Amino acid sequence: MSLTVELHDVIRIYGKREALAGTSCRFLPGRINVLLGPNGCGKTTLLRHAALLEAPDRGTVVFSDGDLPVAPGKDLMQRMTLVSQAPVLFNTTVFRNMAYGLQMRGCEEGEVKRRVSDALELVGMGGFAGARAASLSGGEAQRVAIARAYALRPEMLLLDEPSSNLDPEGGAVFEDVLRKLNAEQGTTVVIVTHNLFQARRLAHAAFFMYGGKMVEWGDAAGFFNRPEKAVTAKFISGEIVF
Amino acid sequence: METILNGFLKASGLIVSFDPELYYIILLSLKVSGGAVLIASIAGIPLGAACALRRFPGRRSVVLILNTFMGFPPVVAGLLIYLVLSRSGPLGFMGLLYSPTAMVIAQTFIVFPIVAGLSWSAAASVSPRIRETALTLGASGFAVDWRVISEARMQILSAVIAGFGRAIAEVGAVLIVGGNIAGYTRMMTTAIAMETGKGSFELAIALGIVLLLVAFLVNILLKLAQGGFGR
Repeated sequence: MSLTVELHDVIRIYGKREALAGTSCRFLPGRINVLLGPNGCGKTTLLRHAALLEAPDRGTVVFSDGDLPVAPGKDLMQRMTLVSQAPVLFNTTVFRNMAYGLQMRGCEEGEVKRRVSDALELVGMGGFAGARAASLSGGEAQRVAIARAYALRPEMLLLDEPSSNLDPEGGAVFEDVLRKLNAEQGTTVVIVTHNLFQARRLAHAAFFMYGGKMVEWGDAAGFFNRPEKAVTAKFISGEIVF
Repeated sequence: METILNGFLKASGLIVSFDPELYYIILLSLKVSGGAVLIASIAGIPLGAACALRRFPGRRSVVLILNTFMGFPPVVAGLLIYLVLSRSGPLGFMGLLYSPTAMVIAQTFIVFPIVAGLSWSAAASVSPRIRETALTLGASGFAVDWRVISEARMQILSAVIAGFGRAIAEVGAVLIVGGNIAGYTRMMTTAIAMETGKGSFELAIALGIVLLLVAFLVNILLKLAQGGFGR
């Protein structure tokens, strides 16, 4: 069984703008869920609710592991993590950035070193453990942020356009990491991306948001080949939707 | 000009010959100001950080008071502490007036708002995304606060150094509550004021040189804490 999150009629309003306008969905546990939609449609807000960084104004966000509900709180926060579009690294070394979440989970020192080393090697940053995070380029920082999430072996991984700072090689490494994590750990992945090619390569299930609502969702093959809604078809064919 | 040159020569003699009076004054100044900054930091950094990281009743008032007291005139602080510690004051029975302890209290009163106010500013300026990242990595409660404080550590160190700079250069309050007693409460600043008044410039210049060196050292530390000289 795998951890997942579902939203029921979630409404979130910032000032006069309704970022989520009654959004409902359930992400497939243990699968790679790709979340698509034009800018400002509420994708990031949805991820922030799933990461428990925000609470809805109305509606509910429910977590479950198989048939069992999972209560929000510290334990749940330690079973998942979020990688944002602009990587946030602490003002310390790469190793300490990587080790932080593991230490919060009570990992032993040897285990921390091993996992950090493995994760950095995986993203091609093996020699960077002692480097200051502030000295990294945008792409290197993003690789570290992805490796940091991988090292945690989360049950649910939320990603907000994580490969936007990466070059093609970095993007390929990232996709490999994601597939590896999903295959080996059964991690539920929810990824926001604007890259439709990447979405097609990664998705087991796809979700399309528009105007703060979840317009369409389904298994990847059906979603990309036979979309039901006209706006979804326009979006995935590359037409401008706003 | 000759007076100044003679003063410098004699002052150099006092410094290199390890004149006991000169070094007693320097040591006492460092002890009093160091003690005041230590106490102010122990109380001020947690208060400043709490005001930046927690929501509690009266938080805005505390910040307002801290900001106001950051510019509190030292002589007025000295007067207030004097009134509290004088025989007829509420703490007069403790017999602390004209002692190094009274000077530490006065300087703590002056330095505390600086350390607390600048610590608040430092912690409040840390990006909210640091807190969120700590949360998404599984931290909670005090661990999240500690992460934010760690990110502000250089600015908080700057606050402590700025507090020390203010304390070591302060003259009004320590003169009022310490009395400038030779070999007991005479500090660098009070000695300079007195020796200059007497027209005895050797010791005043020697102390002035040391005070300048201390100020220089404090500035170097401040610069290093803010990220070094490379920028």
